Amino acid sequence: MSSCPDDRPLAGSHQLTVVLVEDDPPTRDHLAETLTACNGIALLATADTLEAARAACERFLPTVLITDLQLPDGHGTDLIREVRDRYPASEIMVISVLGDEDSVVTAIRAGASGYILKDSEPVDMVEAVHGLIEGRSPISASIARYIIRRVQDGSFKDRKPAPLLTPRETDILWGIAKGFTYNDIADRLGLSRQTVPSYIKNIYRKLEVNSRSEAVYEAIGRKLIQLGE
Amino acid sequence: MAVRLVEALEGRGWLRLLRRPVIGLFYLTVLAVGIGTPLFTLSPPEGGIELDRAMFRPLETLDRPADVPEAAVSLPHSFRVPGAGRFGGGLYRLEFDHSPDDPEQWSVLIPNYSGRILVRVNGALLYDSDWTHSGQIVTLIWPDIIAIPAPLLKAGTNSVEISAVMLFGRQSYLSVIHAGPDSLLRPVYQQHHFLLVILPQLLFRWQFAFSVMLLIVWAVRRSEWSYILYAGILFFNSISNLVVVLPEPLASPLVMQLTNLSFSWVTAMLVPFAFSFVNRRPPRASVLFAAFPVGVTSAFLLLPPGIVHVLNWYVAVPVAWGLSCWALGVLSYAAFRRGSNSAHMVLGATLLSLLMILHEAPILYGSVGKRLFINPFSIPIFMLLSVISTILMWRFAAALNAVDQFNANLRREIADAEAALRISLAREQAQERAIALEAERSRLTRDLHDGIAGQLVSMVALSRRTDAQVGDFGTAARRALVDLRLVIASMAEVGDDPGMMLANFRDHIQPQLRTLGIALDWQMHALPEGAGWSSSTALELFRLLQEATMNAARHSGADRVTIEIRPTDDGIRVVVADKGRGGAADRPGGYGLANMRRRARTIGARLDIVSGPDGTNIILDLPRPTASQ
Repeated sequence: MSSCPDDRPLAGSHQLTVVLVEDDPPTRDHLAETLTACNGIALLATADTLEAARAACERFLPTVLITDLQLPDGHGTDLIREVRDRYPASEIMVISVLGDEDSVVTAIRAGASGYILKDSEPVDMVEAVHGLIEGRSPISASIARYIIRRVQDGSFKDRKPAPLLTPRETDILWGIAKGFTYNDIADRLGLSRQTVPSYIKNIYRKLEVNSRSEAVYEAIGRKLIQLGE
Repeated sequence: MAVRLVEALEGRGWLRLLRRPVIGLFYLTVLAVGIGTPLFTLSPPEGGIELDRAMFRPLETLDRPADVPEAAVSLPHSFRVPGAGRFGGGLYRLEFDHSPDDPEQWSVLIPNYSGRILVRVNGALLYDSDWTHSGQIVTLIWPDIIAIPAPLLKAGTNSVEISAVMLFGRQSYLSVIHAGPDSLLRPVYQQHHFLLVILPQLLFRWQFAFSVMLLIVWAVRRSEWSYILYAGILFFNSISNLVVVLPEPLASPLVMQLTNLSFSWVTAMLVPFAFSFVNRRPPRASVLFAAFPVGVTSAFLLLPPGIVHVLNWYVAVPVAWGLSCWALGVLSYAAFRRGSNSAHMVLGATLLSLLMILHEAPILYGSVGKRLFINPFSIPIFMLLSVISTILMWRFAAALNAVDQFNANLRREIADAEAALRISLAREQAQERAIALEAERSRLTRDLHDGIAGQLVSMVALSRRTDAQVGDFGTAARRALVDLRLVIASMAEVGDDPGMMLANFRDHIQPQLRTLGIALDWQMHALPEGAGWSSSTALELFRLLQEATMNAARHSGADRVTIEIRPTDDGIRVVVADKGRGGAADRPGGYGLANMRRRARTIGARLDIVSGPDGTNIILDLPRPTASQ
């Protein structure tokens, strides 16, 4: 169960370094076990609080940060934003319990580029980490639907920069939401199958909010910073 | 002012008691003014010579006096004339003394006269009234002042000769005459001129303009018959006074004579107007009244003057009076039986007019007396008409006010109704929401109870068994999680799109198959737009597909499961296929087939299981989703 079934060749010649942030000990242990057992992935540290996570990131500069959202001393979104801001080269992956659209998209907007379910099978998790490094972001039908809806009803437009999606990107989201495979979507839109993931990555980038002013705005919105005192 | 007062009385309860005394007072005032009118006179000039005696001789023609001796008469004086176009006239000779050391300009003032006059001083013709206006209207009286050129005045006795000529009518009239300095006489002349000439002209113009105005009102509101009838009355009455404003040379004598007949038009319209004025329906036969003026006019144009004259006096005038009395009757009924204030106003004005005319009528028919300082045949009629005009305008404005008020009320009522409707709608929506929420809540409770609760119970039971393995426990927990995810997926808000719903299932089943090392061949064909399934239908469908797919993955031995979704003629077909060993149908119970059939029945779908050596096809035909599901 804890072995990595897929001995894939390393991407480039270097190992992926990973920092894992998760406050529930059994889940953390399970995930850590899975990651450690896999070739090509080096788990550098695990953390159970925001504080510890910051320290670990500063110390290890991981290629991939895997983080839960609900942490005892704060919200994972803040960590994601900081890491995105300070170490832009790091890829960030969110661990979600049920993959609910709201927290996933919030994390994406903070700068995450992938998510995995907490009960994922080892195969899926490792594949997700590799996929992320290779520039593939996972997207489910429900997330695609959620993004379309939010972009259409203007929920994203109250803050700048507004993530305006191109018609093609919207078409791809619709295809995913309606249950078509990447092949089907590529055929219908006259694209090659390989370009579909890059479109999805692009959509992620558009949703991402990583300007400093935006972060301050968000912080004020969350009452982390108080003005006028 | 009185209109305002009386109108106001209608409204308030405590003032209603005062109504009778106020109306009584109103009529008393009218009577007093009417009877007392002759007492109002203009003061004579403060100087000059008053000539109240004259020597009189009838005239045979304009230039030839009758061969009879002169008779001394006192002024004012009237004489009987044959009338109806036949010549009738008289020559008045008066004398006054003039002292030569008076350097002032002298004039002769004739304050009132009727008909045509020619004035000679010391034998020189100074004035002919035909130079300025028509002398043919019997009812009109005129003032005139004639300046005497200085060379004409002699020291000592000077003579004034006035030839009075009447063509139409019975009776000539000449008032007291004044001779004296122009500066003393002219202000008095101006007063008479204003009252006898200017005022009627003003009223004429006002009346004419008002007639046009009413015509416009009627043109826009055709149902207001009183407006057009009254416009007609005003118009024809104005016509009858055309001579006041129109110099004779501008119109042919025929037109002038025709205007004399306008009384027939006016009286023909009186009765229908009186009816509509008091808000009653005029008799249908009112149209026949038109025969009256038409008859009068044709008689005038076709018959010889003598007969016309007789017909006029013995038929037309009585008919006119009859019609007027009928109209008065209608008004009186409305005033005294129905308490109509406006009818009271009109009756009062009528009474005043009649009283004034009564003063003058005897003079027209031969008696001798001083005439009123105003023209009794135009001023009171104008006054009466003005009262009616005022009332009509008042009504018009009041109607506009009523419309405004009605609008305001309507707007308020609509706003109220809207507010009430909004509240009831909000309540209804809240109720609907509550019902929907309740239904969803109970469904969710049932779904969780059917699925995860049972699995948790089974896990608890498992934990009590001594021989339980950790793996069994994990499997049970995983199954519970899978079902929980299905419940959540079934609740996804996908609008009306079955494709989106099935896409959720794909996201859900793909990781499970990958765990088992089975490839998923997902073939989604474009589905027609249509109503989606309800959450409960979606959940049953998901559970059915979950079972079918996992059966294929676990038991068929194939390493690939195909799920194909395509539209059919009457719905959607979902096929879960494998190329495994088949035999699914042969093992009832083992595959949970009974369970799948039950679920298919629940959502109204047809389930076919084709299982053979080439593999198993689970074919699910879903009816076209409708909103009611």
